[in-house]
Amino acid sequence: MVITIKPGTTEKGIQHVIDKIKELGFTPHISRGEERTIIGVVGENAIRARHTFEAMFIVESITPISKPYKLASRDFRKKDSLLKIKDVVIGGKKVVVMAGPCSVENKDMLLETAKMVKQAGACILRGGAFKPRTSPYSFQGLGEEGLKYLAEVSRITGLPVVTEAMDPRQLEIICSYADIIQIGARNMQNFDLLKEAGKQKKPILLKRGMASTVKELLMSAEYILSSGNYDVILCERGIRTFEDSTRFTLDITSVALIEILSHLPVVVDPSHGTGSRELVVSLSRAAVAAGADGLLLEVHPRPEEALSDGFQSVSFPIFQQLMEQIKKVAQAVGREV
Amino acid sequence: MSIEKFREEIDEIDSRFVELLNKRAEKVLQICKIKQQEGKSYYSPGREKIVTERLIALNKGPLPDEQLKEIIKTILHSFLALQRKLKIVYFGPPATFTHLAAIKNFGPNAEYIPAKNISEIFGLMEKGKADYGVVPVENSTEGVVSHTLDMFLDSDLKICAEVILEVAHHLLGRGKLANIRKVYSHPQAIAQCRRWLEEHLASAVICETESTAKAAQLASQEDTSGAIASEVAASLYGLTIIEDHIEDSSHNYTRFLIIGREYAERSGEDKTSILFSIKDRVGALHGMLVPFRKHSINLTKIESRPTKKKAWEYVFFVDFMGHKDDEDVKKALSELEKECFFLKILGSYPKGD
Repeated sequence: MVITIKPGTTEKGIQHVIDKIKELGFTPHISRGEERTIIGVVGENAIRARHTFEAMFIVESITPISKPYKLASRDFRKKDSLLKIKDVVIGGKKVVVMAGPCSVENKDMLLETAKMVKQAGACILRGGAFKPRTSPYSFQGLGEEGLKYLAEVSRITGLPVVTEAMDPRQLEIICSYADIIQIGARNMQNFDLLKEAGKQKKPILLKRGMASTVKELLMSAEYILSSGNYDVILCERGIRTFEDSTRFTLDITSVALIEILSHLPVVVDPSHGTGSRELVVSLSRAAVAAGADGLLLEVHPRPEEALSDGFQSVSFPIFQQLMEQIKKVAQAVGREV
Repeated sequence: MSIEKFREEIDEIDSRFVELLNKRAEKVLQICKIKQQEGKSYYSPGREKIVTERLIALNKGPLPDEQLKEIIKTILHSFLALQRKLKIVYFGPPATFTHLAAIKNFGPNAEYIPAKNISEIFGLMEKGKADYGVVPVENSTEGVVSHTLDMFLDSDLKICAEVILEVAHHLLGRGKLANIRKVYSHPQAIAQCRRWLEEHLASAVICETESTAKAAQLASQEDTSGAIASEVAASLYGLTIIEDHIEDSSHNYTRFLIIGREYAERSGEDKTSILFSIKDRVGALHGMLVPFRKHSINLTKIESRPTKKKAWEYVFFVDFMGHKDDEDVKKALSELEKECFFLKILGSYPKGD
């Protein structure tokens, strides 16, 4: 259930409610809004304790959360969650473009890409250091060396960095270099990784598994939120369907659906979602039109030479065209890029 | 000098008056514009008080202070309606004491909207249907209007001024005192005239109405009924005053609050109203009042009301001298905040006279 605290309640009053929640054996999750503070009380049968809180003067109202995901649901928070990463706000009016190479190959190539995407209007640099590859014989990423390049290029360009963690053991080191930690589609239900990510102080970009439902995605986000990390960005990156002319089917529906079900920001990855460079621009427009809070795009100076996913990376001129086009779409739907 | 000569000079002075008043009006309109851009209301009771007091201090006569004050008030009221008429919602129907208090505060140039009850006033204000609301809050004989205090528990509206009105109750009717079988009035007015009623109309049926104006309206339809209400109500509903000043206490005052959406600016002589709740334990309330003593703040009223959530649990309404932006008040409130569960500043406003 969600306890809404009356405006005017002091710190001591809020603490009194929190103490009572803990005394009853539940975990309080506090969210301080501009006007009101709300406290999520999560735990089995938490709603049975509602009478205790209803009798408190400082409690304005109590709302049960009917969905299995509690902290991720719109019931918990009516307003959209805004995430602030350095100067970038995700979930607000601006559609945030995160762009960069699939994997960090070397410093020069990364810097060249970062400068270019920044100039075209991207706000966040993406790049993989630890790569989940289908084949063990494919390039596995540069590891910590790649992280160092990311941090250095971030320092030069001022762009915050998002990069993937595949294992709980990598979290600490990635957190020391990157600004946003990505949990990839293949790890969406790696619950130990989710729990550990929930203990980190950095925002988590959680990608939807290729065979997972929206509900399962939100349940995975719940793992991170309930462990204490409230900064979660959801990412639609395509699902497996019977359609085999594209690598995945980009589920644009989920963007609009998540907007209704959850307060968390949602971004779209049209590069993986389509697996085809020719489709990335069109699907980027579609994602922005559907209400995505951001795009995750693979950009490579020479896609044909890329060590991974070259077939879905766009070149610089294409990226520039893409940015120009989504600016117009964003404007048409009351957003900006 | 001849009368003609003096009259000429008076005309000259009057012409300058008109010119100066319009110059003042231009400045006021410019302020209105700025405040509008900031999304603020241009009515500022604190500023009105400062303006009035400054001019009274300048007065060297022969015009008496009281008359100068009346003139200033009329001018300020006219200027208030310069940009547009303010919409004022009050506890109606027309001719209630709340209506009189509203007119005393905003003058004749406002749009007055009568509301059926106190909740409706808060409701209309919250929906933005009116600029200000006027509600009765306490009477010097009968004490608080509990319904008004209760409304503040869940409202974000602010008190931005207070009006104190001397309330004279009259028995109104269409016949003689001996023929009166039934008396209509608001419970507050009945309570304020209880002794008189026992002495003079012991056998009459007392009927409570939602307002004194409503009582006058009902009495106007029945030959053997009377109403306790104001002089204005008598003229509005065509009744005569059978007996005047029937209130038990000769110093019968009612305090009204002007409620708006913003805190009032400091005037130099202000009052602040707060609402707080505490955890019930020995000495808790005493502890809440310590910061006021420590910072030498004069408490003018303390009132408790049930929280309506749990039996025997109360919230406290406290009024004290000072503005919320005064240094000593700020200190006392921040100390109080550390000790209580809930603290809301209902308003800081110029002290009424």
